[in-house]
Amino acid sequence: MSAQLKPSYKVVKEKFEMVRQISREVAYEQLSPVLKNRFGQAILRGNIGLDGFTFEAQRKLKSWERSDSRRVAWDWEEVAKSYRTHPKRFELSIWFKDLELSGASIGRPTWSCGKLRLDYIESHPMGTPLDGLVTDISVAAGVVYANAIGATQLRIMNPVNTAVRDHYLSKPGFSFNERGNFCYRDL
Amino acid sequence: MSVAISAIEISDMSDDKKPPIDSPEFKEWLKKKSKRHVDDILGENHEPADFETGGVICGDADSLDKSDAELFPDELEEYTPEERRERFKVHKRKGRKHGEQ
Repeated sequence: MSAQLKPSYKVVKEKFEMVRQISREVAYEQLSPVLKNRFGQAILRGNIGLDGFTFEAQRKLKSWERSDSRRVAWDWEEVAKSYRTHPKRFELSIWFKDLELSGASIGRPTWSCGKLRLDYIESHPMGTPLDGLVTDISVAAGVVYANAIGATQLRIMNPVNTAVRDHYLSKPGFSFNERGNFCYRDL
Repeated sequence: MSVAISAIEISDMSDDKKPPIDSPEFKEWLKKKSKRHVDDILGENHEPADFETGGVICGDADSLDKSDAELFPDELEEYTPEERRERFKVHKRKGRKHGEQ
């Protein structure tokens, strides 16, 4: 019997970077060719971009912190730094026309790797043409990544208000766990 | 590189039919597996959310450093070995030696 070598941290890190990239591509390809934003305007899929937490994304997120319109103020730099050590983390930046950062999300699998937590989702505090689409694109991308890593449940942690919670409870397959304060869907 | 990835693929495969991630079949497999879920979230008759202006949609800055055991105390599978040891201490009976009734 030959002993199986434990892969190095570098190999694991590179593997999951690849999984994140493929998952974002799959999520993008599964978006409808035309989506409708909160104002009823048509948004072409070609104008939407999905990426990771690139340097540019983090620079834009920093500028959000200067906005007075945020419901809750947290430091994205600190959040991103904390997740950087999790090679299996989920990360997403949502762009309009490759120029305007419209949303960002970060999360990670639970200890057992059986569930994927979406821990933070934020849309541009002042709004962008993707208003009304950021949450669902983030959750759809989360579902794809969860499937890719073999997780069997997606959790949207700490919805900021009842409107967010009710939005997901109105969709098929979602439930709410009151004790843990998360919406979830079995995959 | 591809050899190493194939080797670790074994350890986290929860679905027997899942192709290795560095294979061309992986993307197609993932598309098929995710389609139903993505359609339920963003498919036909999708209604945009009306709560996105104002930034934060979900999250809690105070949870940043919490472990899964702290977030989900009822789910024992989410406890690290250290957390399990802390929670489940072995209590020895006093006055009895090993094998005694």
